[in-house]
Amino acid sequence: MRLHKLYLLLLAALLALPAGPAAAGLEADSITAGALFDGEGRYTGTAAAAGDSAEGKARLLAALKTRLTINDRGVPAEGERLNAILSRVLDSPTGRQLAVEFLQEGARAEIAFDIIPDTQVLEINGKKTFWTSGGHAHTTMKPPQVHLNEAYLQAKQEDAPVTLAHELFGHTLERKRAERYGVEDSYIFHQNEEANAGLVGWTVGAELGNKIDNGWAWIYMANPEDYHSRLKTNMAYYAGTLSTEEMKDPLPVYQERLAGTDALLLRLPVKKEQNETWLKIIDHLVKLHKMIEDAFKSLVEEIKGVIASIPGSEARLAEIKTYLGQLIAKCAGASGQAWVDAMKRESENEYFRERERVMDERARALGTMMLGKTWDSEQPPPRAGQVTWPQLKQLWKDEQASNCGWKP
Amino acid sequence: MKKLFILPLLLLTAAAPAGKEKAAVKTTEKLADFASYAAPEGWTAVEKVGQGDPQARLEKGLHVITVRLAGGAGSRYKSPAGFQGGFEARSLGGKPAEKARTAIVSGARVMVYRRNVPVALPPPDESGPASMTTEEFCVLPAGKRFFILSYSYGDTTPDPAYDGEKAWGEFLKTFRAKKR
Repeated sequence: MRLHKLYLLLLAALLALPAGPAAAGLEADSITAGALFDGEGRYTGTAAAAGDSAEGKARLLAALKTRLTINDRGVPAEGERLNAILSRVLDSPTGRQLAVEFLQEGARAEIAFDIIPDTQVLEINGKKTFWTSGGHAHTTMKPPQVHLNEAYLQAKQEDAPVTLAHELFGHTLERKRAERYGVEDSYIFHQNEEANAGLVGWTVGAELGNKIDNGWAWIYMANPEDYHSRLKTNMAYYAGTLSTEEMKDPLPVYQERLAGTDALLLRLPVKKEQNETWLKIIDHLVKLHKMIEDAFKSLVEEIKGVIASIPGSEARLAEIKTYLGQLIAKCAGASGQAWVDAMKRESENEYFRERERVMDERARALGTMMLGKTWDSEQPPPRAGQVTWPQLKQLWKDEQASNCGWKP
Repeated sequence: MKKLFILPLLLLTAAAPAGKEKAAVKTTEKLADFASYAAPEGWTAVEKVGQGDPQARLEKGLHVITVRLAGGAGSRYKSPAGFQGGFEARSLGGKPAEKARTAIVSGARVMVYRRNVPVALPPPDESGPASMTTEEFCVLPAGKRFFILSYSYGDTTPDPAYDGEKAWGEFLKTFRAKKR
């Protein structure tokens, strides 16, 4: 019986491996990986052992892949890329620790690249980038699906392991934990669901030597309350998340948030108009006053990026309104009261206290890695010879004070 | 309970646990009892309480001037130094605010600082440009307490149609701390 189970695990490990020459070494490792599971299929390795040597890491990777399906969508190169991203996650101590916890928790997932709507690969300051979501996790599916933006095949490759760690360990593993505590229906409404995944990604990124250039990381580390407050107007899902205290009485919280969303929506046409005005002003300065067009390149890129983002912001706020309306309706009636009561009851579950404890620990570790760095030091250097916003504002003031008489 | 994970570290107490602050209490004090000022033309003004301090928020679109009287019993900050060492006087990422210029406020010469503050960020799993703006602020001692006056425009793209900085400068000229 024991040997039969071991055989099945090994077979699963082999099936999860990529085809092609690169797979040969991993196949050998996967056989060793089998020895890291006990007769009941429980993982017995440690993150420390995985961090001691390349062989240790390879064994952990092979073991992890017995619980993961790499979906290459019929394109072998995608499978190879996903395997490389997964391997890179395990170069981080936190990645290895969470991989071990993933195995110990008995979690599973399928990983694939996916099309994230509205993604455009842009070139900013000579570097390819994209501004849409890096990925997402469908944690309630069997097995959970982790999708990375296929734009990672072209741009921001160094960020892909961070997103994978965020989705796979921050969200997917957490779902499995919540199930063990019996709070899988309520934990998803807790504001720490995203903050925890955020911390996982930021920490893995910092350990991999990536720049800590995610503004949310800095905001969270300076003031978690500010982070949670800002997130709630950022996306529909976050608008519905609650603190442990708010879980005890969510209805007034949702009503207040709904009222605030309209004001944000009204602002967007103004924002568009203002940005378009600045484009006209720059155009005027270049065409009539013969200023050097190239000196405005960074500002024009930024302004066009902002204008391009407005339809997305509008859609997002509309989604927030709809979602909050649905949540307010969910609180009504007898079934709504049952849900409210369940939320109140489950807010007392040990899971939430334990999650906060682990998050505090991780935040302290990340804080140590952020020592001596600032937001500015983590930003890419600006393109040389470019007009800045304060300079453009002054140029516009001078223009208005002059006899030119032009108006945008 | 508020947690500040990075500032204690930035303040060179690397081994210290995350700082904990007591929850701010709501104040019943009225700002009008402590100061007088004129809102710029066309601006709205709302008195607020928060962070344990009486406050006012003056607005015109996304132009915002705030008046806050700190250092009271329920205040997060007991002294100007406490405020200036905290995250509300630092740029995103912990960098201390820059000295921008001096100004005469209520008969006293004060330093006007400038810091970068985020106004909007892309969803947390995205890495688009953070919308950063600058906030100017100054601290005006008032007996055992102190005013924090600030101005910011809530978007990374400036307002081409209205000079909020000029209005801020005019506002500072009208501000008077009342003797008590």
